[in-house]
Amino acid sequence: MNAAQLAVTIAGLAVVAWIVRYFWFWKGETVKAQAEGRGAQVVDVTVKGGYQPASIMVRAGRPVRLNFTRREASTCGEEVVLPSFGKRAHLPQDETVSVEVVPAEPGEYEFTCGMNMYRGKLIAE
Amino acid sequence: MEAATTKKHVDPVCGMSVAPASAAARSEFAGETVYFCCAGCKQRFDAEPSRFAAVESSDERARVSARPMPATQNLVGIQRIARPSPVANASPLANASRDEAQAREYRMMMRKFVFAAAVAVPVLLLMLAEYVPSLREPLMRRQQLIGFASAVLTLPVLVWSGGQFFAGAWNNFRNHNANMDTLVALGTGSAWGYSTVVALATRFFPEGTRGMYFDVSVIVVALVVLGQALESRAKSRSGAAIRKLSELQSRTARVIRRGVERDVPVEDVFVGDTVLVRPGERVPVDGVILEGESAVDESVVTGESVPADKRPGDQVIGSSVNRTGAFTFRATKVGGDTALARIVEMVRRAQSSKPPIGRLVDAVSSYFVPSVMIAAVLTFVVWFDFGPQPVLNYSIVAMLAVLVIACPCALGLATPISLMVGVGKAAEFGVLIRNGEALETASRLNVVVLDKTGTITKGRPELTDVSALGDFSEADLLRLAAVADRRSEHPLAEAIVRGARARNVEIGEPEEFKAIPGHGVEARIEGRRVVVGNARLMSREKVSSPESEARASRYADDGKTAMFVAVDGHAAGVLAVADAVKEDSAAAVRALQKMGVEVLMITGDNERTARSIARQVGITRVLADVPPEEKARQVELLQRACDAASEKSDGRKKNAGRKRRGARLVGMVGDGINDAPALAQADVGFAIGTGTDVAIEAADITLVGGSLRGVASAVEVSRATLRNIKQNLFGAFIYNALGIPVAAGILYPVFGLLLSPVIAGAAMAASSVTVVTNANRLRFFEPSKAEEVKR
Repeated sequence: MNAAQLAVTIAGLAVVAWIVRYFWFWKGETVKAQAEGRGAQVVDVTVKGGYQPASIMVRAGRPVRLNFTRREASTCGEEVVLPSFGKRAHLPQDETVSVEVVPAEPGEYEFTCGMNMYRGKLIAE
Repeated sequence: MEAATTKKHVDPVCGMSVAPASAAARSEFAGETVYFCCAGCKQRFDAEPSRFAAVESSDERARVSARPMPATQNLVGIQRIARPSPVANASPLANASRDEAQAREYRMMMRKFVFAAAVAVPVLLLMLAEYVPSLREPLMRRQQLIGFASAVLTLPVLVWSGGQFFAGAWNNFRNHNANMDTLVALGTGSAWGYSTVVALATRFFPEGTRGMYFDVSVIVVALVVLGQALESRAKSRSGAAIRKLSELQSRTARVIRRGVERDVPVEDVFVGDTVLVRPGERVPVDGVILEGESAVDESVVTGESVPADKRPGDQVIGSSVNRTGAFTFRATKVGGDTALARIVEMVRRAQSSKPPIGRLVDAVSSYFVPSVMIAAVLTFVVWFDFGPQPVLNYSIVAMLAVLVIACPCALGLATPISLMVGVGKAAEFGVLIRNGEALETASRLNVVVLDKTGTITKGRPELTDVSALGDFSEADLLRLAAVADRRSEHPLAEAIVRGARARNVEIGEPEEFKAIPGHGVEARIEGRRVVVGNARLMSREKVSSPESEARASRYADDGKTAMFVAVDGHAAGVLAVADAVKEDSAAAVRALQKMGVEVLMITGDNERTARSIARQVGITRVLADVPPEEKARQVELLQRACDAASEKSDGRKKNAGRKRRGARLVGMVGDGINDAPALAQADVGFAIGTGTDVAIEAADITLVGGSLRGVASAVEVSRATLRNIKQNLFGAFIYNALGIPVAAGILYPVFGLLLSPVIAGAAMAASSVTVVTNANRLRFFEPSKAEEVKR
């Protein structure tokens, strides 16, 4: 193995390690939903290459309103699905669409894009 | 905000429409003015504004939306959401704007494709020209110039036609995400970038490694954009079923208020309104007929193609089509409560759910794209270390091919798109599937238990036989019996009167009438004394006729109830009344049996009646004398028995475990109210709906049409959908599992075959289009027994 091959091999493995770390071992921050008096807990979620925030803390048993705004032209995020609640919403670009759910029990409730590539979750407690 | 004064507002407390000018009171909340019909409402609102402005959509309240919206909507800050909510989501208007957006997107992508393709042709020709011996020499001398020109020519393609890939990839990257955009951007970007470096700094690259891949970058962009355009077009078709349903909603209704007829928007029809429907018009909302008779085509809701005859007191379903006569009806359900709105809502929910079969994909897809990136890097390294000369060229080509061939879209789309089409298709046959899990379980049913009354049979007695004695004709006998029974309220008497009407017998008024409780009726008709009733009545009247008794006993053998008729003290004949089997029950049972599903009957009736019904529809296993509260227990016993038959039961009785273990599955079909516990106990509960109750809680599947045919259709459509999902999943998995290694060059050592990235790009575009197209095949699904059942 010559020097160039050695360098390419090492660089390649380094890139692999970086990919694993960057995409798989990354924990996003968790945002706590703002409660409006006795009304719903409201969170604004921006859809742009993923959900921001992707991890949302809410109180169980109370309605949660997620205001999704898709800020990208890519059609990946045009559909948001909350499978546990049987909700699906179409998100036109740059328009805010509210989705209201009530996580009755404490636990994690996922929301994803139509193809399951973007993922976010509600953590109800 | 000047338009606000002309806009109608809704009192969030009582739900009444309030014009701001005439509002009795107002309040400010969340920056919006709220108008009230009376001071009391304002008081209640002010005490607890958040309660009335809360956001639960099921609540019969209003909401305050403070979020930014387009100017036109912003004025209607407070809107009543309980009535229009589910349909508003799926209103024709919303559909139209969505269709419009989709069409625009399609046109845009096609333009991007045409531009990319137009640039790709000359670039490709230049690249290919190198392989023409006579052109090779002059081209090689100008290699740097050609490279430079290609770089300039192709850049606009990447920026405009492929811009969304780069933007998407970048957005994903910042979120620590990676998707198809990432792969396409990496593939085309690195092809272009590497080639440009070669063009600019040719002399740093040894002879033979000066490969340029501008053609790859533009062609891949062109193909992927084309693939997405086709995919978006096909995807818009997959939602066709639900769009069709929601477009059936009438826009206006003709309401009679205080004797004045007027057309109002369907949103302004209230419960209790009297609505007029003329022949050929759609029934705007659900209700009960007040006056008039007609045949109404309810096929859009029930899937039943024969129009139903409607009389005063009968239910009509919104969106059904009035065929023959005009009638008025009282609205009982409006807005989001109508059968149609609830069907649309239920189908939507089901389309959003996930069948268990999709879970594996979910697990895979989140690791998929980074894995492909890793595979691409490793491919490069392996070719670089072990590949033939010129190594750099081979490494680059193989890496590009890996990046471009992988198709996460096909995987991600496989399950949801088929589910969407399948659930929508089922709704067209009047089969409402609650969610993906119900669909998957229904596809694997082995045993179906049918409740007798109301499920196999019509659930109300009907006149089945007329048998006259002596000089009486059958028509005479029936007429006399019907006239005698006319004023009776007994279900059997009503059945005779209905039966006579159905046979076009004119029913006059009796001169005298007397009901004899527990026996029958006694009447004077045209001067003759007519008695109609049971055997006890006959012995009281001292009328005996061996012949009528023989006939009565034969009817009893068939599970029918005999009614004797005597005129002036002489036996005149026997009528038989029975809870008749629905016309298509036998065909539906046959269809199920043909699919390999064992069919059982369960009933609270005695063995004799049960057997006779079972014989008529072709069922051999009968569970008779089962009281209603025991039905769930019987279903559980069956499940246990099935477990024992397939494998040893571990004593766990919960369904989730059974389904996973691949046990034989038991479905139960019943009316959803009395049978609710049994439906819940079964692996799949089918509720037979009648009229407008469409979303039955205990049921996994609701058969709106009330016909047993729905069970067979449900099983068949579920099987077809699941088969389709499996094809898609298999195709997508196999495609990626084979495509990626081939692209990486696994065939090269043996066959010398290395995939061109251009071919890889074409394959990837084709694969996602194939998945969507395959799912759309489900739209042409027809239950195979439909003809036979319709006869």
